[in-house]
Amino acid sequence: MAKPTSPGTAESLVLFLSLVPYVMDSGEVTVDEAAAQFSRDPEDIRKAVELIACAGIPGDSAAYLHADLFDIDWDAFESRGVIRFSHTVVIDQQPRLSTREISALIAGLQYLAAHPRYGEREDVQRLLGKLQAVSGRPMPAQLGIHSGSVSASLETIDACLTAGTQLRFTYINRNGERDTRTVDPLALEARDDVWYLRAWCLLREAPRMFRLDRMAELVALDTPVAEHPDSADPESWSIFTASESDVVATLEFDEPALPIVAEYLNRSKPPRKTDTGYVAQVPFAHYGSLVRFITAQAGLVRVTAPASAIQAVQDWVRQAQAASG
Amino acid sequence: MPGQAIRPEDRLFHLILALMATSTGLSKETIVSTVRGYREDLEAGLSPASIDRRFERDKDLVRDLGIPIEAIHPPDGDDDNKLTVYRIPKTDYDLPDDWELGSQDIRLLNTAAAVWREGSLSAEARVTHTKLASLGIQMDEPLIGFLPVITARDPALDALRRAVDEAVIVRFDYLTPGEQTPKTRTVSPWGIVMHEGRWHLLSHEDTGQERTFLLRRIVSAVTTLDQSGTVAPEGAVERMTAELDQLYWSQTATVDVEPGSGAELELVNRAGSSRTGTTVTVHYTDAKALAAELAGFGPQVRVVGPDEVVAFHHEVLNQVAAAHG
Repeated sequence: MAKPTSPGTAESLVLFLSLVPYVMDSGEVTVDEAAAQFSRDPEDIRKAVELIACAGIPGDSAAYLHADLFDIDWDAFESRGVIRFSHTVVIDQQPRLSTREISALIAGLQYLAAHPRYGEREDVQRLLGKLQAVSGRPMPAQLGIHSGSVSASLETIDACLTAGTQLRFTYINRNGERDTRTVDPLALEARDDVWYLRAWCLLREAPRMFRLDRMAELVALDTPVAEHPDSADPESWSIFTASESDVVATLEFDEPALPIVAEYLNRSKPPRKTDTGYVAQVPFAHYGSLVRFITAQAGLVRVTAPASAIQAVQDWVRQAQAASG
Repeated sequence: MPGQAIRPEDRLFHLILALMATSTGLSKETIVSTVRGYREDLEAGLSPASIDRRFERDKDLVRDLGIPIEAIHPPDGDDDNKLTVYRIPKTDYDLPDDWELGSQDIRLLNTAAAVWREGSLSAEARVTHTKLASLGIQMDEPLIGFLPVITARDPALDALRRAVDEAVIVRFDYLTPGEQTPKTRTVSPWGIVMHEGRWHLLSHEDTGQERTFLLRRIVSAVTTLDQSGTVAPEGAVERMTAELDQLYWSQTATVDVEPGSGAELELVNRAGSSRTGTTVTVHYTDAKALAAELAGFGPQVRVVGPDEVVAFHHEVLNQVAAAHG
């Protein structure tokens, strides 16, 4: 079956096919403009242009004669980084999206629609309808995202984000510690169906991620939020940030559990294969999150070190059994 | 440029250009002896079998990107592929002009593609972004501060999505929640749905039974059989999704929670939960999955009913205890 030999090849190929109509439509663009538009390095764009400029069709003579090739204004390109075609062949339109791409876009839109600011929007619904209609051939819903109802706190948080005001709430972390936080909300995030608030925590004087389902007693305050240094680069915020206080546990598991622990393995080096299965060193923020993860895996994942972590799991299970009677 | 290897994306670009330039189609022999990349391979003495395989892989990769390569077989039924000719009809290549997508639509689509930026669909999401960017529209969504992501880490997801798209039968080993040994399953994949934060495969077994599988519990690689499967009747995928939803809303479990604990907060925050004193009623789709989730809360919960969930909860705790004895 179709399996791209290397994703890099497909991505480069699509860049060639997309650059041509983009430049043709604008007449001329700079390398930097194209790089920004396609989210690529200027060097990638430069290389792509050089390749396109020498490419073409075999032609009647099958000799790739000059008239059968693309050509650019080399002078403008080399001296000023301006891309302008002086001759093009065959391609003059954007390549279409595959049915798989369309089904991923439909699912992505359905997912966005769970957000209060998107769900209400008529254009989102209209676009979904259009995509379903124009996909060319009848297409069943191959890929669906079904989001459950989102917690009521979402609306309070969204109101604070819109107004640029502070939020106060009670928070219980994975270690069971409960306290009251006042934060400058920065953004709502969602990973699959778990929602997070990215915020500047005034108690910790640091950026923090809060799970919406561990928040209670939310109060929208009138105090405007302050500017924070690194809030401009959202991608630098991740759900799990390694720190020195992490509990690093040695986990052992068999092959069947690999996909189950995949999310946690992301934090660590790839697991090592042994005679009996796999071993990985995985950091957890505290014992609370470690024991919860291990217990929820029903024995498929075992902690083998450190002794304190094994003890924590044993205690947690024993207490749970006692509580269950 | 003799002696210099031609990069795969260069060869593929030339293949597409040549196939778009022809109206009558090109035979494989013509392609191999004239198209840049192939011709050099032929001249360098690469074996015909290797060139053949390369051509097959290239066709797959190009089609995988949504670019249709049409194969025209000779009329008198003879399947001699020496006479088969290939072409890319330009009307099937170009983005359809009846799309009528406005700038805002394109930006929304770009955001929808970005939902897939992590995990196994990320390369495809970048391809979609490149195609959309070629329309020359400023891509930044004005709505900042919302960065949802579907992690799509389940290794089976991409293979199954391709199989759904191609309507071919798949085989994999499946570990039923709560069991320790996987069983091999052979099914026609109909659709993939994310429900309650978990990916589900909706499928049809050759016994005629509809079956739903959790992707996280697929513990082997997904093998695609070279065999067409049954196709989902219209509305079947939607119906099976609705059934998952219905299951969630029709089943409830009763749990006593420790007041003020994280368990209390998280369970109360689930969709549809209700609370009376320290007793929380929660909805669920899968009893075993819920039992494992509840086990993660350790002594903060005591499962009251139904019996099925109580029994699975005990079982999970015993399994974890045994694994850490």
